[in-house]
Amino acid sequence: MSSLTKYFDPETLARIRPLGIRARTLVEGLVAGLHRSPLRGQSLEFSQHREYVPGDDLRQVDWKVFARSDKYYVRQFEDETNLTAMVLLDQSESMDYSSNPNGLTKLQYGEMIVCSLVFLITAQQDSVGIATFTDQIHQWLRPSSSPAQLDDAVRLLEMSRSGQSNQSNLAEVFSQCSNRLSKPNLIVVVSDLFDDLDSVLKRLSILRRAGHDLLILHLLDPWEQSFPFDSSCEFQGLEGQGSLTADPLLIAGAYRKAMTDFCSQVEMGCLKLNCDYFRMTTDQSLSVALPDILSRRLLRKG
Amino acid sequence: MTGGLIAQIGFGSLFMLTWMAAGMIPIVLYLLRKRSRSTVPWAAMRLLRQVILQESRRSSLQQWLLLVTRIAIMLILALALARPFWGDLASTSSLAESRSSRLIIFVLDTSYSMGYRSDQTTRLEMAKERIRELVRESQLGDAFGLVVLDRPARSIIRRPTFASNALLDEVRQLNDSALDCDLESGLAIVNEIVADARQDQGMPKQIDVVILSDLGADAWSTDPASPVGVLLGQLDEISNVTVESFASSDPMNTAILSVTPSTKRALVGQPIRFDVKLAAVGGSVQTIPVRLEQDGRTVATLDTELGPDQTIDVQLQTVSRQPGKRLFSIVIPPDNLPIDNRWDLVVEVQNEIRILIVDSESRGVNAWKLALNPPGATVRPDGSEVMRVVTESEWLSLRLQEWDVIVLNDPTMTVPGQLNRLRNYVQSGGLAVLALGPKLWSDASPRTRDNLGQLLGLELAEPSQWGDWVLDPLQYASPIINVFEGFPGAGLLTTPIYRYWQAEVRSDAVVTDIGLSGGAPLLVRSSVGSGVIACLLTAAQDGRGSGESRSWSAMTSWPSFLPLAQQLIQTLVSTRVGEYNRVAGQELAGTVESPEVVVEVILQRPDQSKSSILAEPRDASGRSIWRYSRTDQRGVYRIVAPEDRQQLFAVNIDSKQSRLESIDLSDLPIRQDRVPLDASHPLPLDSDVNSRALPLPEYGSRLLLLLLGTLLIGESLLACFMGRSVG
Repeated sequence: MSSLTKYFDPETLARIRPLGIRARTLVEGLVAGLHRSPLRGQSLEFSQHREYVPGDDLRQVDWKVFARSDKYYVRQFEDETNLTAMVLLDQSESMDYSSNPNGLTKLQYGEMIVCSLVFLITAQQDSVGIATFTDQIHQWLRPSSSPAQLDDAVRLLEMSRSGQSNQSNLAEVFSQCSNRLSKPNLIVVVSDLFDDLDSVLKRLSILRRAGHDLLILHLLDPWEQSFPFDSSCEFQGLEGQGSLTADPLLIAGAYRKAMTDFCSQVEMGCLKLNCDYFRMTTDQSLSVALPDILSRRLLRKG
Repeated sequence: MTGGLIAQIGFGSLFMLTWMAAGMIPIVLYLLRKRSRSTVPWAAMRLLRQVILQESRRSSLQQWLLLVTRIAIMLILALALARPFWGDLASTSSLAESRSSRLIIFVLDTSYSMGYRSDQTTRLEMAKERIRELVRESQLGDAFGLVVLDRPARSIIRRPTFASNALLDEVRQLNDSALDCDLESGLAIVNEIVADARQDQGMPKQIDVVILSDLGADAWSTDPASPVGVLLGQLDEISNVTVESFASSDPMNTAILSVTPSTKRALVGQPIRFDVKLAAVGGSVQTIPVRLEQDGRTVATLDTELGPDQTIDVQLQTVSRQPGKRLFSIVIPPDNLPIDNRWDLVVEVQNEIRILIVDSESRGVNAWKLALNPPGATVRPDGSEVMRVVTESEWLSLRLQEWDVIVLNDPTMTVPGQLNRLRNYVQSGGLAVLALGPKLWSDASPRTRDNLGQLLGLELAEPSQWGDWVLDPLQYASPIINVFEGFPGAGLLTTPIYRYWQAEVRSDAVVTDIGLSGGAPLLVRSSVGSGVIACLLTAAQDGRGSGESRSWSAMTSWPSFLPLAQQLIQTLVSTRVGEYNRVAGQELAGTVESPEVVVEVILQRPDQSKSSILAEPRDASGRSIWRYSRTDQRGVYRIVAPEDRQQLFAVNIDSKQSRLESIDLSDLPIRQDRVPLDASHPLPLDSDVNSRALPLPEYGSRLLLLLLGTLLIGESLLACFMGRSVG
């Protein structure tokens, strides 16, 4: 299998393509495309008049119509912009975990997602860039709508990670990302989010305030949720966090509850920030999970 | 309490304490589990660390609690199995004796002679009180077994118990039965119990067998070589046997030993005579009024004098005017042993004997008809017939159960199914007379003759040579021909017999009534199932003919034929095996006709209690047979359901114990190392014996079992709670 095709899941892409990708909040773009603009009135494409209601921007009032009819009408514009998306992939050690020796690690699963998104976005003439990170951003591929972007993305993902830290620092990464992106973008975060949740949510809120549309894809291994161990284990942390010995039968219930609480807190935090959150486990088929996420996002955003 | 409590703890089965080692099992499992640890890489360490910090104290506590509970369960189980007991030295006098625990096997005679009343108390009550006394004297940790001697002997407590209350409960429920004493099987059971107890590590090693009996001579034996003597000797070898006699020194009893009716199936208006055998034991000459009751109403009374240790025969007679099964009772005044003062009998009274004659166109049929024809009309007002003559093929379509006797003279036995029909009829209680003649030889196949011979209990060879054969009355022992005794001119011995079937008796159930001078049988009777079949091994003919058609006999034209034929029928009817009168312990049986596959029969016992019996599945004739074997009471048993099949059965005692003969205790072939209880001394009746406190061994075990149950529930709840927290 070539390095390109290994990131392609033909079945996945075949299912996603008809659905397209639409950003919830309209992102200002450079190239007119299929997406509605968030900046009503600044587009050249006039849509319609409607009667003024208190609260409308006075700058949108059509004074010529007022002069003719003595009534207040506001102008509405239909503008279509390009989507620019930035996909952030967590490459910390915790993403290298897989409960199934023959299955995908969270990182491999995330890479598949990244490639699928790059292909989809470039295929609809939109721009997409990717970045990989652990405690900081290590690789940055500028957004582009070029068909060659996919090849570049694959090359970037396959680059050696030697010299990188094995611990994640999402807050720092989001801060760096905010600094690098000058315009509102669709930011897709692919991570297991095992970090200090408060600081993560705080940084996400900053990104949100900067006008970015956020899509959080929370990757988990199925065992991280079910904790199915039944004999005494020594758990070795993947991000240099030492080891812990415990009897899973005694703590399994509490662990599962803590994991559920953690996921709920992430989900609630995202909900408050008005950004999309989807939790995925690596045993889910991408050909099912990804279309499901995109269609649900489309439904939610209208 | 002045002396204070000095507690002493002991164990009924110390060996069981070794099971306490099983308490190590949970610890070993725990350690093994801790040792078998695997290394797992893990990503969500932040969460895991947080959870372990939160849960470690609680989970450790739960884990330890569960471990301790499981260890405690094993330890307490071992303790309970060891049957601990404790007591206080101040109040437990038996501790001073410091003897080891014993297994005491009580062997109680509950045969009917133990119902003999002396000083207002029966022997059985005295024996039961003696058991209570011995139990009161027993020590903590003693075990008990119980065997009763009636017929058959039974083990009430087969596996010895340490619960004396359980023993006393069983003893309280025992009553004297109408059965006699089956000592041999009882001793065999006790031997087995002793052998098992010696193998059982949990049982005391000192084994005492206490036999409480009146030592009736009918069951006991002083001969060491007799079966009872051998069993007693064996028992004496492996245990400490003590026999306590409850025989009275001078018993007094008047008993009905037997009652024999002149017929078990009488005709309405025909006198029924009862031969009663009475016996007196001890006492003086007395006048005994003997009453005959019919269905509870006195119909005859006879005063008779009876001397001490005398046996006499008296006769009472009555006439029954009503058909059906009638209950007759012979009653004498009650005495110290009331069970043998009454004798019940069920006699079936019929309007007439219904006879079916099967005609094979032989020359003797008319003679049978004339000889057996009842006086009066053969057809009753209700249209039913008293006598009927049918052909061999016709009788196959008749309902045979409606006929009392079937006569087949010179049958061919060639009609298909004829032999099977005859067999079914007799087996279900029917009576049949066969006079075998030339047609069986000329028409029937050898196989049919063999099958017929099997039915009759004979081996039929072939007809004899022609000759003039002479009858042998066999000392007139048979009731069929004893009327001819002393009347040589009545013609029996001169009856011309020219030819007969040579046969050999093959079954014990066959009785030869008349023979021939050469020793061959001529008239035999055999019991088949519930019925009887009589076989005359020559055809009853008139003596005419010549050549091949020559008659085999001239019986029907001889003057002896009429009384012979009538006596034959009367004997068959009166000796019918379908009995309604049984000895206690014998099985009752009957048939029920029902379309149902399973038929429930309700039997009312003499004490008015009711037993439900399921009849066996229907046989080929569509009848279900029920059987009942628990006839341990004397009196009348009635079938009360199904209502249309009401039947009466009388159960009487086997009167061999009524003479109250006992053997001397000192003659028994056992070691004489124990002073027997003097039965003449009334025992103190302690009605409060069961209200005393629970014996301590039982109390200790129960307490531990209660604790064990609580711990098991606690363990289950804890495990469930932990499992839920895990899940």
